[in-house]
Amino acid sequence: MKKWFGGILGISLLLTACQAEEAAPEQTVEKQEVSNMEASSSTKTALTLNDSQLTASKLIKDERQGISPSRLRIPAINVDAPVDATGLLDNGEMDVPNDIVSTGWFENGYMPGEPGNSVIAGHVDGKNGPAVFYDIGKLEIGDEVLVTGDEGQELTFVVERVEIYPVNDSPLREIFGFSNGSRLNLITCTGEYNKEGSFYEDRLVVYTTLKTT
Amino acid sequence: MKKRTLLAVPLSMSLLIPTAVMAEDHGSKANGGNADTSVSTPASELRSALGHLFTEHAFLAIETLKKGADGTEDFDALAGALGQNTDDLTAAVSSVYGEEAGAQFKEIWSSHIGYFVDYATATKANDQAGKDKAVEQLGEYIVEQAAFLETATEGRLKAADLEAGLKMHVDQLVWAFDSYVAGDYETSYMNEREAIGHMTMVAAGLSTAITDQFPDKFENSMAVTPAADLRAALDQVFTEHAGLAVMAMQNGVDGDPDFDASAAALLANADDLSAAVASVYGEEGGAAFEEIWKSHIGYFVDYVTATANDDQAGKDKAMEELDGYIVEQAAFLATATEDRLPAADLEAGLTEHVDQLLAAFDQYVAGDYEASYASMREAYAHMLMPSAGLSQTIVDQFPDKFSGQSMPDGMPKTGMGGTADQDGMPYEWFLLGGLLAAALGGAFTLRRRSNEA
Repeated sequence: MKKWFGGILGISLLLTACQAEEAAPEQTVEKQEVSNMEASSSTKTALTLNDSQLTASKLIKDERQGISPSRLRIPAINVDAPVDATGLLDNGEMDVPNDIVSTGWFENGYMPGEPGNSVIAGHVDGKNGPAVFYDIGKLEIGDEVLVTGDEGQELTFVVERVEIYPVNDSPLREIFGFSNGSRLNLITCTGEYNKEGSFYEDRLVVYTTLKTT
Repeated sequence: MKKRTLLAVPLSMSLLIPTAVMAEDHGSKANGGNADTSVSTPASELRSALGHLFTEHAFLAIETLKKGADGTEDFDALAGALGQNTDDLTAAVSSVYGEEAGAQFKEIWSSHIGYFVDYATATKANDQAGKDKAVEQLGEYIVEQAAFLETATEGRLKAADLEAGLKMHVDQLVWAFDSYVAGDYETSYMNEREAIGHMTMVAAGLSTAITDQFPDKFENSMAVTPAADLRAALDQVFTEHAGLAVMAMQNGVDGDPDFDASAAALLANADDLSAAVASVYGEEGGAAFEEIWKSHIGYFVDYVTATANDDQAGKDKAMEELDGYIVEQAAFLATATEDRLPAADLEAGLTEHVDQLLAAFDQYVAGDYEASYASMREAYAHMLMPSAGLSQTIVDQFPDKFSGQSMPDGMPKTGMGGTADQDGMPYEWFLLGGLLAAALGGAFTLRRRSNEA
């Protein structure tokens, strides 16, 4: 009980303060209502369930919707590339596009625009030269990333920060996991190239967040 | 592609079933927390606990404000229940971040409840300046609460996201209240349901941040997995059922003008639950469930009607019908789950549910509001049991639908080394190299063609 009183103390104080002013007139009104009900209590109550759909004059809800991305544009570094859906490799790594001009959206995860971290990866280079995400490390806070959905919907994301992680020490949950915000994270390779293993030692992640109007 | 259209269910239920892609793509690896098919991992438990308290907060807050506007006798008791919910939330925050942070949380959190009450009071007094001031203070609260959570989670939750979410919460509550006061009950109840649903996303975000912050405490499990999503979705509809049922029964016996709208909201909740059942057990199963489930709502209404008419025989009959319902509902679920949920256990759980709702109602009618709202909170919390049981059963029954990996085990290989170790050389050279390679490749292809020809 003690705990209970403590919990409501703040509210109760506020309420008693306001009720003191209101008490007198309101109670009269209430009593009238009660006596009205009593007067009409000779008529039997017969409640029925009316299975009709509710309608609202205005419904406040989260309107964010994810899109299946088909095109990615980053004006600041002149990127305009198709987006393919990619999944997982047998070793559990995120798959990548087969060519160096396309980008890959991780379709097992979140869609751009919905709450959560959506991910689009692109190569930094091919065997002989730069690829689609060669320049994403040059992106600055505030730069815009435009994503077009497969039905023409367009979303704008804004660069928040750019981070570099060792390939096997990347915060996967932060990059791929759930979040209340609608995020889009761009991934490419960076750092030393390990010739024996044919891979780059680091990953560059550009964190962007949905621009709200 | 995410096959959202696979299910003709409301958006709020779309979390229930993972995408077809996930179902197809699993198979290879299921290590780490992210393909965990238990609905009761430490992270999922945290998410469920937070979801319970956050959704209950939204529900209790709106109901309290409405009672405040109507100046009903049970207002203090209901406000007390809302205060207890704050205590429970505070205890949850303290258990993660310590007593001091818990106390700080409680102060901030309670402030917004106070501002809501100010708003309700000003509304009742037709005091526009008072309403404006309350709205302004709620705006300040949003910033303060967001900053607190960003700091507590060490930046895992972003203040900007939190502010957006909190603003929606405030807007939803204010609008549900305003429309109630204006007599637009349908709008009020629909927004109340949205406000309750919105809190489940808040719980998902906060539990994700906490489990990422203290991975050892949560055995590296993840709060958002297909299995945890199913549980969270069922938690939401089951608990909301209990809350809306209590309010509809009150409205019925009091002859309140919002009875129809509140009953319709309760039935809309039943539709969501039936759609969830249909998405797992098929349309026919969903329809059968809907009929049985709605029958018990009807019996409760019969009980309310009999109470209003002081008709003991009618009450007895309604209770008899509820007993019959319990057996029928238990048999349905036992069959659907291939006896993974035994009928006897289901009957015990359903009996408790019925008893809690009847107790909350009888106590309300008797004017024992504290007891009534204690029963209501019990009934609300009790629904987490069928939710946990049913969601784990569904996962066990259809493991392929829940074993999808929504997160990779490793980063993508996004480079082939073509620009590595070439310090100082402008990359145009590589472009040229690429063009040359392409040209050579083209020539090669041409030669091949001509050879073949």
